[in-house]
Amino acid sequence: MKSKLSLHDRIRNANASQQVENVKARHTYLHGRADATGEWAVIWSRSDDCSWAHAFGRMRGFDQVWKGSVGDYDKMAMQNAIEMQEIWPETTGKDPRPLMEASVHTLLTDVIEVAEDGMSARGSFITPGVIHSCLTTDTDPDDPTRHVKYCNVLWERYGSDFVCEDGQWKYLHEHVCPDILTKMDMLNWAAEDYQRQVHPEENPAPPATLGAPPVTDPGPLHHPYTCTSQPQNTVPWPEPYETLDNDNTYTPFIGKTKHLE
Amino acid sequence: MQCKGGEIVSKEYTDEELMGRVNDMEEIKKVAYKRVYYIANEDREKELEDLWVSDPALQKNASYGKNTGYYVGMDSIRKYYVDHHKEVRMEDLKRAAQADPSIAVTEDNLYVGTIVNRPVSTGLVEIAGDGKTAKALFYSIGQETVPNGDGTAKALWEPGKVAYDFVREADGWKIWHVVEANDLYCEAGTDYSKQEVYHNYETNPVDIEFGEPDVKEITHNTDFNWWDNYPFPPKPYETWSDEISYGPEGYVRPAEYGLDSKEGRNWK
Amino acid sequence: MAQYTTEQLVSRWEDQRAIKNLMGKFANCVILNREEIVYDKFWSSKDDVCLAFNEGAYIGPEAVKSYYQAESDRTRLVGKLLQKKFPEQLGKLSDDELYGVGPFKVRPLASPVIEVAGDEQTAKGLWHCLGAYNEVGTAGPVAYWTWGYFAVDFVYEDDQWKIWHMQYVNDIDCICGQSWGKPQKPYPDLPEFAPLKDFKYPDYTKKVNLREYYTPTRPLTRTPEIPQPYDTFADTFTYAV
Repeated sequence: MKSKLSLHDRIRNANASQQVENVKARHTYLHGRADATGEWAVIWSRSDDCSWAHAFGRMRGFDQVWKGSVGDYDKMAMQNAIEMQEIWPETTGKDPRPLMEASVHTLLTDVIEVAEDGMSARGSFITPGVIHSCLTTDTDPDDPTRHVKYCNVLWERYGSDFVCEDGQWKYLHEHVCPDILTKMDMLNWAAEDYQRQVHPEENPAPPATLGAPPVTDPGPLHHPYTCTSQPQNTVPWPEPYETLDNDNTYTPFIGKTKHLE
Repeated sequence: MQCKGGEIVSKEYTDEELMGRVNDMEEIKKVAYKRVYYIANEDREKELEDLWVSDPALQKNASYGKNTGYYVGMDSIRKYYVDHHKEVRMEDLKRAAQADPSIAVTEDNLYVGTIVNRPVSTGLVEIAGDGKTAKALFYSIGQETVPNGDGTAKALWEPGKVAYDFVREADGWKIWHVVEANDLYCEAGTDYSKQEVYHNYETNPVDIEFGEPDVKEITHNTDFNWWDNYPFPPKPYETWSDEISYGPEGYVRPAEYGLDSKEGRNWK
Repeated sequence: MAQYTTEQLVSRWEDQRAIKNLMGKFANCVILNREEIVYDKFWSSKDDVCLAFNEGAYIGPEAVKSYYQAESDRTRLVGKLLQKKFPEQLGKLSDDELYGVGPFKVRPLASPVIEVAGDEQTAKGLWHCLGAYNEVGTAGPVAYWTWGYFAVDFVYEDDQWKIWHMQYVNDIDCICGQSWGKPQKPYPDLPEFAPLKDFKYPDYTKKVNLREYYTPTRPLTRTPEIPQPYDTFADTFTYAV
């Protein structure tokens, strides 16, 4: 549908749409280095309304998001680094965060809408991803003396809200929905799931994603593919909208409503 | 002040200028996307003609990089990317013909049994404030499959970053520098964790295929994941300088590299 | 290169964004097994709509609708078979609650080359698709990797962009955990999924070898044609079969 906005506002919104694509992509490259500080210090809103959600639940407010997504994440990296130095001396002194793993969530199939008021934008994405690490503390189940590298295949969907603050586009809400998790490349995620359903006692759970920080809205908010449930529409695509509000958001506003004022 | 992702950019654009830049952003991405189909179609010569810089001054330091260095200058790029590639494909064809003598070893059959997909996504694009150049970073979950010579083929997953410098020429945005930084390879249907841990530059198929580049430099050591941050995500910039290039002139080994892979074992 | 005014550039940018959004919504409907709404929501009302796969094409509204109806019927059947297999988890679900249980089909769309006609009445798009799907077959749930392309003609109709001709063609359709360069080892059939053997999609309107799947002896097989700038649809090629 052709826009009813003024030419100026249409140009503003076209630019906004591209800028939030860039913010989203910048997230991918920062997250690939486990540079949580780079993400949350620069490309996130510090609003009490910001939120980050995953299957395990939703962190609300910048402080809780910072605690879970930066503090706890960095802690995992540091703990990993301490163990790594004993096994892989060449890792000593290097930034422990990217050494933890490269968690790469690519951005495809984007549906992006910018609010008519130009103050927010919303996007849904399908994210085929690879999570890999070379020097690790993991060992080969067939030979516990051998350390191994890994590559997991993780396909997710994202629902993301962005706001324009002080002339910059920032993340406000992120909702991550893991769908497919398997190992590269000798497993079959659907057949494995079926076997788990039929013989749960004989079939181990798929590899876990990192961490489960404190949350305000407890999970599960989404569950990975299983042959005994409908595919969930946890992050429906955004529709054209006027302004960010409780009808147009990936996180209902229940705290301070800075962006509703 | 515009609403820019990532960093504050105080430059103001008129509506007309801003829309020009929006249009540029789509055109730049489109060049990278078109290259995906040129690669799949083995249209490498045509790719160099259609999508790469044509200005002789720019061609001189155009570059094509991977984990182990760069080919520099269009002549050198062509020798590697087109001529050497055809020689490699001819060897692939000979192997395929070994298994199936009905396959004639001719130019027409050059790509029998091979398939290359390098789809890119996750574009992060920064256009210079002066609008003359642009930098972009993408990710590709790609694959390359070549005949084994026994009726089967070796199918390799090859995910990695793809970085571009673009220049605006009279007929549109053109590729100036490319870096394809492979993160790993894994044969389809095999357990990646069973591979040897360290990057083996003697046996890594991506390194072998890349041959002997003009500038030899390990720019992306996969042993340390993305620690080396290369190719780095582009940042907003006003005008071009070699320091930000994805060509060899822009590569800087991390100052505090510390120990390299496999070092530091003698403390006992 | 055509020169456009700023206003035209804005309008053309909005067109290509709307087309990306349309394809994104389509892909989401496929994930959600909502094929029954795809035709009405996303397809043109033109008589010459065309939906093509590697081996053939559905041509015309009734044929395209019949494909989506079959996809929906199959989803319903899979749900019933799984309900029988897992009475504890699924036994109490109503038909609506059961609908969609089982299949999971992800078609991420990468590297879009979109060209909007000079007259903005039609557009063309080409995407690469590294997909992953499990549609539940006679061997039960089994996941596959796909490598292929979406090549689509769009038409501007009733103030919206709609799908006019769509090719979804794959090079590779390989059981996850196996190599597409080697003979595949199918999972054994399971008796509980035997009724799926009798399930048939409608015959293609036109059988055509649009694209051969990859084998180690396949000649170079070019991608669907890359869209080029054009003024009106008469000036360009079609993805219709």
